[in-house]
Amino acid sequence: MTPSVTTVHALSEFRFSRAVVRGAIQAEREGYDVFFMNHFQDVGLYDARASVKIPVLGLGEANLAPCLHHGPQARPARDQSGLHPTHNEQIVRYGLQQRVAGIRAITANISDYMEAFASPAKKTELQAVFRPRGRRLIDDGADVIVPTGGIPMMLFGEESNANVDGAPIVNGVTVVIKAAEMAVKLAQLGVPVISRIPQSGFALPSAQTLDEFSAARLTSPI
Amino acid sequence: MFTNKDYYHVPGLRPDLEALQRNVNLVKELGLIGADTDVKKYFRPEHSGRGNQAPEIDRAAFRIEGPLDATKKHRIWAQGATDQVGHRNYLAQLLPHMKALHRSGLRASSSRP
Repeated sequence: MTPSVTTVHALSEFRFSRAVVRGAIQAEREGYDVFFMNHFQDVGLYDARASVKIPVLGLGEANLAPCLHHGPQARPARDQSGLHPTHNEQIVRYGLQQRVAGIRAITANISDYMEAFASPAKKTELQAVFRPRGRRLIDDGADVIVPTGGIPMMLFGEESNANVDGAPIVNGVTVVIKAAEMAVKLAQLGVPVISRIPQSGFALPSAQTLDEFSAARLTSPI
Repeated sequence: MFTNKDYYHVPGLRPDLEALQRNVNLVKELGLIGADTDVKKYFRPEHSGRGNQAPEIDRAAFRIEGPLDATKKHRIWAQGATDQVGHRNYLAQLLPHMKALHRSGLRASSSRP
């Protein structure tokens, strides 16, 4: 997507959601078996899922529900508080209000994370920020820590058995890839992975609808 | 543990008509039957794979063999909101991690610089 998303805002999320739908359509046309977005907010997930026959997954959805298998309470740990409303919407959309008790922000920006991937000292510094937040979540009843994004997932959850005082830190990138593989295998077994009845919201579009979406362009600068 | 060295059948349980024909020919050579027999004449057309429609047995085999065949490839499209310059340190860890998890075919799409 050009230009790339460099800010935290609803407009940026909206712009990415369009790229997600277009990506899913292109993936299907190029013969891919499954599509997923490595973006925890799952923007455009349902629109993309309704647009193509192949399975479409989102990093957030693929992680929040399975994480409940680890324990009765999961807590997303967010790196930017500006996305709290989006995560709250996700929790409601996925029906997890009774299972996800809250979200907590971490004070770090994207350049801190990028430096931490290259510098062990910086990584240790960020872990020192992350772990106390994790302990507070555990004190509040969390059993699992779900970093809400591929970046914190890879930084804090990549090591085998990563945890805060025994509470697993989930590397959701691993989870979503394995969920994608499972979706393909279920489809091969003839198990429906998505309902297409009209009231599901995932009925497939007509060729005309797809053509109109593909042809849509902004005709004048805003 | 059964292997291909044990009593072997074709994966997917497709009938091996050539092997069956050799067996029938041998039975005739031994004098147990008097006439030549073309086994293909006795194979049901809807199971033979002829015509444009995929034979029922092939559809069934696909469902069975697909998840059990470790070498069968499927392709995953992974789309991120990252860019190749601003997130390069992250991508340097993410992409090898993804490809190690799914070796058969994964396309990771990020923004151009």
